Amino acid sequence: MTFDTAPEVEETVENSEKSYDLASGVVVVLFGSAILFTVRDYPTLPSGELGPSLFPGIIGGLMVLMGLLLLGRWLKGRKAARTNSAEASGTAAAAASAPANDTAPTPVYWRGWINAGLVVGSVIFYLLAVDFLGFLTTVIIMTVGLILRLGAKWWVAVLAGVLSTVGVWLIFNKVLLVPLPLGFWG
Amino acid sequence: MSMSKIAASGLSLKPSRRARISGLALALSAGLVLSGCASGSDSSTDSAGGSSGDSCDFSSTYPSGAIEFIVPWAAGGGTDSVSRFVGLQLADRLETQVNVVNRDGGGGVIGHTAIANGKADGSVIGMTTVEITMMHWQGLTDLAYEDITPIAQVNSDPSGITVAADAPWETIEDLLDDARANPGDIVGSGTAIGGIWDLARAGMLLEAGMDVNDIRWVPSAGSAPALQELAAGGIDVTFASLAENATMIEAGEARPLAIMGEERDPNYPDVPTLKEVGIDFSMGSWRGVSGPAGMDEDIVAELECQVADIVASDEYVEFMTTAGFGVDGKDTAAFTEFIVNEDEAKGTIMEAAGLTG
Amino acid sequence: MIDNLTQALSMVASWELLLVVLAAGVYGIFIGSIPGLTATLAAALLVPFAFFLDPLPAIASIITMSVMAIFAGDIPSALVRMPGTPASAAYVEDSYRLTQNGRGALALGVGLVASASGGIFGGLVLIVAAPQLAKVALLFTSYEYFWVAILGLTAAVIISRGSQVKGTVALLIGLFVSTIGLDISVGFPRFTFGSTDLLGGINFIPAMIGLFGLSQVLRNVIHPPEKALPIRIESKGLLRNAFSTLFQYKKTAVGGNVIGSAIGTLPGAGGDIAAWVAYAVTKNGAKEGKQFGSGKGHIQPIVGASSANNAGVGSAYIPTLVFGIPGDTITAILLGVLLVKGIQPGPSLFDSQAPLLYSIFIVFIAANILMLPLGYLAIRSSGMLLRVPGSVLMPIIVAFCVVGSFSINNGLLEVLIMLIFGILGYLLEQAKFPLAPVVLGLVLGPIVEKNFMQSVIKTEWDLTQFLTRPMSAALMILTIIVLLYPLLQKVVGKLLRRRQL
Repeated sequence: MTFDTAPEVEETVENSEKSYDLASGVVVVLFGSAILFTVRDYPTLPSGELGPSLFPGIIGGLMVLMGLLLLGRWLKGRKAARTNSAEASGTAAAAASAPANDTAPTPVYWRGWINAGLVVGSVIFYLLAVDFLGFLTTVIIMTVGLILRLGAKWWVAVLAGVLSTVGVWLIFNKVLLVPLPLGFWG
Repeated sequence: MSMSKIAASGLSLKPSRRARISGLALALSAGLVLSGCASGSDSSTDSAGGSSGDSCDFSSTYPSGAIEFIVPWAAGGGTDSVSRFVGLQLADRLETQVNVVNRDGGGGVIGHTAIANGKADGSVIGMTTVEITMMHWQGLTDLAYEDITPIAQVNSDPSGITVAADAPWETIEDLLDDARANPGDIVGSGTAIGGIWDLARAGMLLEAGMDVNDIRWVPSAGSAPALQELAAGGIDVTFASLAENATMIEAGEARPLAIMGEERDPNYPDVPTLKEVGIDFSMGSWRGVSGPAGMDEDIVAELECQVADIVASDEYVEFMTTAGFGVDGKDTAAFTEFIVNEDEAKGTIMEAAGLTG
Repeated sequence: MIDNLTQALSMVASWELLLVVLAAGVYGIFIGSIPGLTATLAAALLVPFAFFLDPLPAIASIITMSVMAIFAGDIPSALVRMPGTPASAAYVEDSYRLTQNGRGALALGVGLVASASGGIFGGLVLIVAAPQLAKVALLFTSYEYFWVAILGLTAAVIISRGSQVKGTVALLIGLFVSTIGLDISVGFPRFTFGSTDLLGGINFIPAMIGLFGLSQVLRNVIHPPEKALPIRIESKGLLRNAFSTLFQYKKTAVGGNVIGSAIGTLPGAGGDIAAWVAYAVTKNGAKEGKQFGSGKGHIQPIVGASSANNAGVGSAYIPTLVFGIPGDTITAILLGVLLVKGIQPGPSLFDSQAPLLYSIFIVFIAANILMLPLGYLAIRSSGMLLRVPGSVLMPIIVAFCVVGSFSINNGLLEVLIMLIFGILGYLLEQAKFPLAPVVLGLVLGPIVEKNFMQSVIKTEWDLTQFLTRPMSAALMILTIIVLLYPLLQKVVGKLLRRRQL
């Protein structure tokens, strides 16, 4: 059975992939070390063996190991990238036999990043404002703002934002009886 | 199906249809209680029904809005189903909305903290459990009974000692003799280390003049997984209330050896208490309604009176008996004193068993 | 048995349940047919509703939704060459090429009937195998549960696609998050940094909503999918042609069913992987296998893979219900809901909750039958489904993510957890880390640790019990086989290639 492992192959083709290896390798090693550092003085079982620290210890240790493997791959990939263009074209053909397993990243525009920042910001806005403004007001501001920003006409934004928010509110507050915050309205 | 959070299958180990029926039964019984408040209980003499005119209306301003009833344990468990029953009844009697909210996790610390941190105007109350007298000794939290206002106790269940049907021990003495002769060979389970049933084990062994490790403890996520281990032969004995073991005992797969109560359980008249076999020790879990510290006396009195009425009602007794829970009502003064004593007793055992943090 | 069955039938035959199933089905088709919104996202967003339902409607809604979403993933594959769910990714090229050559209706129709038949097959496997396995599972103690959970973790990493190192890292992240809170052995608070809120650990549901819901929104607004106008398809005679084609390739379909069921049964591996394996097997077994995914497109791999992914959806419930070890990400999410509702899946479920279990079986079969009319309508109206503007949809999903995670505990901490996991999920996907192992690590972590600690405390660190108990040993050997699978695959692949030359 030879079901392909195309992503592996692709990774040797794509150069940007390797930079992820470097960054994620460093992060994973640091994170694993932090876990190991935190659990070093956790208590033992009454009988003296490792208790609460055993499992996180193993996780932290494996993280360091995996992080190092990622870094190793990055080093190897850097060397290979220059010399092995011939092989790369060979594997590209192999990759074509099972394409579209992941949607190829389209170029990132700065617009996209601002939009993502606004999505994250809208959730933070909810966290900060909901107790004061109440659920309906907060979420209407969130949805209408985001829909407008993502390029819909203003009346579409207002209509879709208000209707969906009221719908969500009805379902959760009236049908499922979740006490959603009223804010200063209540 | 009951889609509401309150009526959602509180007794939820049952499939939806039965939960729905029981939800209906709850609603019906709640209706009965409302109309028959006076006749149903001896304590309330004049009958107007509802909160405004009845004998429990000690506070003229309470309740002024929805009440949040916090359950420090997960949905579907024993504390959850008792809380939902009490919450539904309170809603009817106080004529207000009572939202029963599960805040579980952290061995009960999260929910109890949520009760203690609530507004002390009676809008936040909850079901405190025995763990409030244990978790601060364990070093999990600074929170203790001083941070809450006990209102009324509603239930208590003594610990049972249960073995597999084919186990070699016929009586509790057999088990203890074996543990004396072969210290550490017998393993028990029922909660995490330092949980209520672990304390029951440790307390019993200490009172019997044995070492706390003569029967060793294996942590488990609760009595249900411990029972499965018992049935599969992974452990030798479980410590938990007999209600939690009822299905296995009825199926003939497990045998109760003793209970740690003051007197025998009417459901299991053949099972002796520890006191009968010469070990002067009793321990169990209990549940009671409490609020944050510093509550207004009138509000406490009103809630105390309402909860006492609920506990005295036929519906409550029937509900608790069906579910296998013990009915044990105490008023505010008795409950407060009880908690203080419990706290001290738990501290002593946990110290002796080396469980304090 | 008969008694249980009649009780189950009366539980299923209620208007509320039918309504829930129908709504969940439409919802599943809708989400599944939108590229970039996966079946797992659909499950994560459905959870806050399921959370408030009774156990049976909750389970039924998730089952119906997932069955529909896995099929509906085929629709955008055929029309705009973007798989709606990862389970459809294996044969996206064949579907699209068929559509370009005017045979899109056939591609989708075959996908529909193959999905339905695969789903029913997987359901039957579930009905037959689960009670038998449950009898075995009754004898399980902590040693065996430890190994089953380890098997799930191993399968999640090894059989997942892509880099195994990255899969392992994703798994470790999930495992680490599961250790936050009170530890099982002595009740010590780990990684809580003094916070009372964290004593209970990271709530699973908001973590899922973030990981699969918000992260997808972030991905969609940062890399907006190219606007691709769907190709119109002629849906006349769709079902009849589809059935006759399925009959023509009945061997392939049965093969896909068997592969899908087998892979689904493995803890930690679900429909996506089943589809890839079935695609590869069909390819190796067919005369024109080398041309699959090119030229004018081929219908045979669609038959194989499409019946496999839906068969995998059904059999993934076997380990979930029997051992409490999830078969894939969707069942992992379902497991989280069941635990919250106080239902501990495991062999005792087959005793104490037999009617509930039979109802689940009935829902399974019913959902797959319901797929035919709903799927047909979806194919007819597919052009419309694909025109829903992302600018409106994404903010609404954000609102659902927020209210969904908030309502679990009426707390803002859950919304914050959702946000953090949303950003984490986006970063992981960008750096090509798979997300599924994170979920499995989260769910399986406590099971592994609890059963390991129980076992060693029981026997005072006598580790031989993990190896010498017969069932323990069998499970361990199975784990080792899965662990060696990539190696095995290389060797077998080489042998096959040599023979072909």
